[in-house]
Amino acid sequence: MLLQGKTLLMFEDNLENITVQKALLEREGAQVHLFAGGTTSDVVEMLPIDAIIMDLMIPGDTDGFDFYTMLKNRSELASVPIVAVSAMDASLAVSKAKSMGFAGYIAKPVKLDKFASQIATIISGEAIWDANRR
Amino acid sequence: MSIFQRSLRLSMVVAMMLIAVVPALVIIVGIVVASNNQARTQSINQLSSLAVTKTDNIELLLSNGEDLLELMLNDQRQLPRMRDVATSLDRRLSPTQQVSSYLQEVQETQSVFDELFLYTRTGEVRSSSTTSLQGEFIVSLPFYRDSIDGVRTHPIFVEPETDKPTVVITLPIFDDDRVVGILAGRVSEAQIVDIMTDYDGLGTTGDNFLVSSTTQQAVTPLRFVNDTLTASTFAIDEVLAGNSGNAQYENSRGETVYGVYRWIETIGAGMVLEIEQGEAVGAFRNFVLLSGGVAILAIIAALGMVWWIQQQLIAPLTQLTTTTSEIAAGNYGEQVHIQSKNEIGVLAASFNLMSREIKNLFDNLEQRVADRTRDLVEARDEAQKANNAKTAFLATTSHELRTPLNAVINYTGLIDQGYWGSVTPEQSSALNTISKSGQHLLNLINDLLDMSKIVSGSLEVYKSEVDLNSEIKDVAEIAQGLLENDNVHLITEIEPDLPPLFGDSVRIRQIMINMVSNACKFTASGHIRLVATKQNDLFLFKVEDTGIGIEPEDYDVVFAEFQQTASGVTKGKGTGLGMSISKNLAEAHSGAVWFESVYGEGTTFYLKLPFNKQTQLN
Repeated sequence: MLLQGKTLLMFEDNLENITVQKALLEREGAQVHLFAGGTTSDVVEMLPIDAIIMDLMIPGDTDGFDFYTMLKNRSELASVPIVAVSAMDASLAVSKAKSMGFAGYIAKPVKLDKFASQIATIISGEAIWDANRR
Repeated sequence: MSIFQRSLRLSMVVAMMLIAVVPALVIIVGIVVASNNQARTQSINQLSSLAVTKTDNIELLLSNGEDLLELMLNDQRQLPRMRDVATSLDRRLSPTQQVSSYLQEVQETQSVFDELFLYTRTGEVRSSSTTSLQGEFIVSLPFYRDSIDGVRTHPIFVEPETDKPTVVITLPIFDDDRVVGILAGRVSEAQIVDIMTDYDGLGTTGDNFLVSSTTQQAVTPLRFVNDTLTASTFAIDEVLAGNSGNAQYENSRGETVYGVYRWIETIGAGMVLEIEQGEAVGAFRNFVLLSGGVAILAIIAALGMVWWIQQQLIAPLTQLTTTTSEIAAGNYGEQVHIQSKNEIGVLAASFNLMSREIKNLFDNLEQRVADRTRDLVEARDEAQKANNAKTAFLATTSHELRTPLNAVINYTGLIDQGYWGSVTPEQSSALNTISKSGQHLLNLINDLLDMSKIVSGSLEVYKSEVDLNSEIKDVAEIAQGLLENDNVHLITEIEPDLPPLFGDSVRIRQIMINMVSNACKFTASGHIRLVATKQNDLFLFKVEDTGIGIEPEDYDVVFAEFQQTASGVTKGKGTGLGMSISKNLAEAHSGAVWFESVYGEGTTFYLKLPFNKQTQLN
């Protein structure tokens, strides 16, 4: 149980992705909250959180990168690791995520046998850059 | 510009100097020198011939004198009387009067002698054509002693009483072979002086005179000096030493003269003839002046030529160059004002036409550039817009194509793992096929999207520091997973602690995985060797396999877009884009991908990337 007692917040609007990722995380003991939209204050209210799993293509005018910046501007969230999980073009997304200070990047489709351990690694403070080419 | 003009003008002046002025000056100098030489030669010749003539005249005079005296002594009527006069002890007892009368008579009939006289062996003058010497003793006179010894013509001397040049001819009177007296004649001083004061052929500055060896003085009158000449000159010294010749020297008046001197033994005197150099040369003055005039005309003509060329060529040229500079400085349409009808005029007219044309063109050009710039800006904006749209479309498409595939892949995986209830082995096998096909489709989509970026020119690399060590470790792990069976061994030779490389980590990894997966795909047995090293400022990654190799005719196909080698087609995997994409990605990093292969034995693919941080400008 890699994620026993961990609370995770997942930004994701695609039902299939939610299903798969939630399944992979919960079977390792994590408690997964969904965030389907809202302000940074809404996020702060959900503290304590061990990590935020963020799809970069979220509904609305603000994309994941913008929302990341807004979150990081909240001092309450400064220490919460945020990992991008995206089906975007990896080359651009990884480079941008690295430069913005994301805790990691995991390309979709997530690997069933690795996803939970990658999240655990990120919570432990180590970066994961998985562009998943091949 | 001004240096150009000056130097052109200067070079022309120098050229003219060389062509006209220098030769003219050389000719002038040559003519002056030649004239002087010619003047001297001519003067010397003239003086020499005069000297010969005058010497001959003097000697003729003397020989006439001797002949006359001999004639007198041959007069058998007079000879005994003369002997008597010479021998009688008392002159009053001898026929001195008759002899004197005879001498006087002869004297009057000829002009050779001024005076005829007869003296005894002891030097007492017994008879004379004049009374002046009668009864005198002439022992002290210079000719006396020699006359007794038989010398006939005596050295010239200046008679102290008369201060006249005097030449005396004496003939001895014999009595029984014994000299008893002397018949003497004083040669006409006027005749000698006439010869030596005839200045014909001596111009206006020429002079001639006789110099006595006994007195070391000129004994004939000087043309320009009344006094007796005592000064010594080169010619006087030479002639008194008995020499004859010619020379250029200073005369007694300090004038430079050409002179000829001639020793006349019979009268013991030297004849000197001289003419001033100035007069001698003056004869050639007209010739020199003419030549000099011609030379000066040549110089003036040369200078005139310089002036003319300056007017005709350099001035218009200067105007042209100045105006050209004006045009070059941006004053289009400047005109030159040259009226001449010659080639320069034609050039000027063409130049003006060209200048106006340039102005027109330039005016039009500005408008055209503005128009074209506006068009280009519009086109650029259009292209930019189109490109942005294309990039956005590709990004969206990429995302939209992958999302459903993600669901397919992950759902089949979850089902296979028994997440939604247990599955039979047959079902598991089917699910595995779905999953693999999905993954394959995902790879194809990724390749197609990459290729479309490359083709559309919108491929971008996102550079940052890449940790090669961890990337290569991952690649090696992936390679291990890709090996199709146990007959293939993976060998890794990775240099530890490779420095970070500035590049796009995703893309570099993509290239390496592509190389590795190709090797795995085409190698059924043997080994696959991964080598990663740093060579100077290059990162070198090598994947060597013992696979089927590449046929030489397929070499070009390897990197060609949308093409696969025959064996690749047979394998039925991939799009044929992998190596083409890898090559483009490497080149986008200023690197390269290439291979070596022996068909049937294996292939080695190489990747070379610069560590150099300056490549970030890509």
